[in-house]
Amino acid sequence: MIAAQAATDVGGQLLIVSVLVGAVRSGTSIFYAALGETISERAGVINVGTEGCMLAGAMSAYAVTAETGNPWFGVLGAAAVGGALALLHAYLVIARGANQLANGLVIMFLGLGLTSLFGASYVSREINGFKPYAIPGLSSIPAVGDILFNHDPLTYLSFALGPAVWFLLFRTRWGLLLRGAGERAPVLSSYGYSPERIRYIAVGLGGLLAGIGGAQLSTAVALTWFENMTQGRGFIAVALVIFASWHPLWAMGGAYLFGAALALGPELQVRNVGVNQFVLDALPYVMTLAVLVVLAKRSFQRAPEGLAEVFDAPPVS
Amino acid sequence: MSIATLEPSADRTKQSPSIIEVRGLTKRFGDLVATGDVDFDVRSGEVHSLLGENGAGKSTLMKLLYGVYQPDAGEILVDGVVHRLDSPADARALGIGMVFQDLRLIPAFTVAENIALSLPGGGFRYRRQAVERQILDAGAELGFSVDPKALVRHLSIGERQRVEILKVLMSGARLVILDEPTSVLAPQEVDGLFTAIRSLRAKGLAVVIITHKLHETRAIADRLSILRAGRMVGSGIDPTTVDDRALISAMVGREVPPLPVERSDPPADRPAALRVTGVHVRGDGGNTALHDIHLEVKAGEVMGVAGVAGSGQRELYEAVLGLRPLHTGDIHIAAVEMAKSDPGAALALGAVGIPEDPISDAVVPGLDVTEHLALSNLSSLRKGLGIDWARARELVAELDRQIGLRMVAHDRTVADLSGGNVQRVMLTRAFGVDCTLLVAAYPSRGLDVATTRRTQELLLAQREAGAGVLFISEDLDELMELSDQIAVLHNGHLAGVVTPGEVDRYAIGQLMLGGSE
Repeated sequence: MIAAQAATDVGGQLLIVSVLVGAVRSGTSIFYAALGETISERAGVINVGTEGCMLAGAMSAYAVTAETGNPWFGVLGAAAVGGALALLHAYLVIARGANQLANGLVIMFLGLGLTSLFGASYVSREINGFKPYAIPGLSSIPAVGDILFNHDPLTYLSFALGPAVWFLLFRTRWGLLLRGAGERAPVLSSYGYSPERIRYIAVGLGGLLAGIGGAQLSTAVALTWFENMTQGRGFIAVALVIFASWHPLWAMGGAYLFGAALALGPELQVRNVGVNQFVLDALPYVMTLAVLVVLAKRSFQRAPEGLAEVFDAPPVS
Repeated sequence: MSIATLEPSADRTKQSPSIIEVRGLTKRFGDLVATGDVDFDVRSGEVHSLLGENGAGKSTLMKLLYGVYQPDAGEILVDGVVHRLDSPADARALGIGMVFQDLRLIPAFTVAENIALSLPGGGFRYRRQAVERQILDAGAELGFSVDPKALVRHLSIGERQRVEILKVLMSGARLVILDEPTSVLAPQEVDGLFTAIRSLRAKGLAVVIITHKLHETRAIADRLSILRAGRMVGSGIDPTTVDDRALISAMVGREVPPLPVERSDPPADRPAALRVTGVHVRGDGGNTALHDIHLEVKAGEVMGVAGVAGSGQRELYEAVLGLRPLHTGDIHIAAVEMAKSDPGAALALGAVGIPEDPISDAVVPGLDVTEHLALSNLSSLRKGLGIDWARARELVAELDRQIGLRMVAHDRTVADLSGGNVQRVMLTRAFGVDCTLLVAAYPSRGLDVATTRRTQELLLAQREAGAGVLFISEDLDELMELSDQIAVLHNGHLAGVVTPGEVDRYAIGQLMLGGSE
């Protein structure tokens, strides 16, 4: 069906190229959040409140950009606020023994409520956000140039961040410690490390990245702020982490896949393809689920053992 | 970060200096003297076996050497110099390493990742290839074959133990303390471990092995020391100069009578006490924990159950006693089918169980000893609407005399009792009942030698009385001594049923590890 319609292209761009451009554009904020959540869960803490951290980041970035005129300050603000909210989660879960899932929901609602309150005055403000920057030379490669090399700076940063987090987790001693904290904390304690401290850092980093993801959404993609603007992207990120088997690069692929499904609807509409609006709205979720469930069947990685405590199941050895 | 080596001297043990020496070491926990005035030394190039019963203070002494506990009196000398060991890190820095019974490895990590994690320092990068090469080199030096890329999850217990030893050595240990290393191993794996220990000795390293098995001590130890009730009753003895009886009475404090050798044949006319037919059972994780088990325990017979830990023993225990639903198949107790998996139904058919973990499965912590024993016998103690407690106390006192496991004072609350004392209560309760089928899971766990022997006598007494006994144990010696036949489980399958007189430990070990008979 799509192939048949692909002939009717808009602005000289193939449908597939438009969708892929949109995939990266819309997928990046989710990717940031999923990357952060990967770090957090690898250390043994689930933060279902990622949605709240994203929202906090989106709103803070927008507000700071509006006040200072510089979106980079906005990104700093988003990282700080997202990180702080996640650290609250870490404190309640690690030091106070709160249930991770329930507490995550609280963090989500806290983020939603606070951003609605403090963001209200920015709803109709305009900002001077991030602009796409076409990389000279590379961006003129047909198709690939548009898909990969004509984006905002935060998207370019994310390209580097995926492999960087992979390196951190799997090729550094710090990554070993972090994953060890998520697997069997007592083993780390017996070597004289503090698994609690490692978890605080991991959860904080996770919130920081989710915050930057929110910033990318409000100051680079949407260039506007409205209540609950992330619309569940944080939850999708949490789901992606599991389907991506806690692997940062798979999370990247999953995020773009979801982004592609998000982009498909508007592109089809522009091309006047008659598909039911509700089907289009549901498509991102259905497609992401379907593809990732198929991938997850190959279960190349298991859940960190420490996460089993969250669901009160005995660890599998 | 290569393995610390010392020059092996010509006469290994006599002239080597002591790596570690303790003088007058005392550690108290409240009123309990865990170790009192202990003198002990370990020389380089020797394997030193530390013998003693459960609770004799072996683990306490080793934790003092490893800096987990600090002594109340006495001193620890390392290389002839007095040291304070405030933490395991202090001990490690002095070259003392410990391999705990519960191995401290991360199953989801590779061998290399686990070892990299344990090595001090090493910079920011995890240099996988460098660590893998170090492991291969260190392994080759000791004659261990270890695959650094293997996931620990995929390794057998014996292989994990060797990784753990390598880990300790690679962080610079010259003295390795092994806490009951053989208790979880099949005989073949014990041989592998001993080969490894011998190569450590050949490198001039010192090894302390904690055990209560005499034949293992004889197989590996250059010297041995014996702890009893926190006191060193023999220190640095040459094993060739003492016989087993002397060692046992040193450990226990008195002579332990041998088990009766004469046993009556099971009566032929009685129906089988237990018949398990085509039973599949699911484990806690939904996996199949028992596959197509067919097993018959005659009346008046002890059927031992052997297997590496986690081979389906717990699921078998629970299935037979109606504590776990069967997926397929059926179970007959004294020729009557257990209609549905229900502990009450099994009990009504005359099945009695001694659980693996009584503290979590079978006691009400708030009740006292008398109340526990009355609980299983309430109907006979009824008096009007209440319970005849005077009679209950009498009966319990009588039972305690009869069974002879020396329970604690009968008004003590079970929550305050040690594991061994809870086990005595459980055993007294189980042996006090006439039954057609007794299912005993690790009945002698946590008991001293004398009580273990009494428990074994009681198991045989049930057999003589005509009960079928299903006897699950991890101690092959005990299984061989008590069982008429031994069913060997491997990975949820029945690997074979053997008769102790006809096969040796190695044949059973082969089945435990999944080989054929």
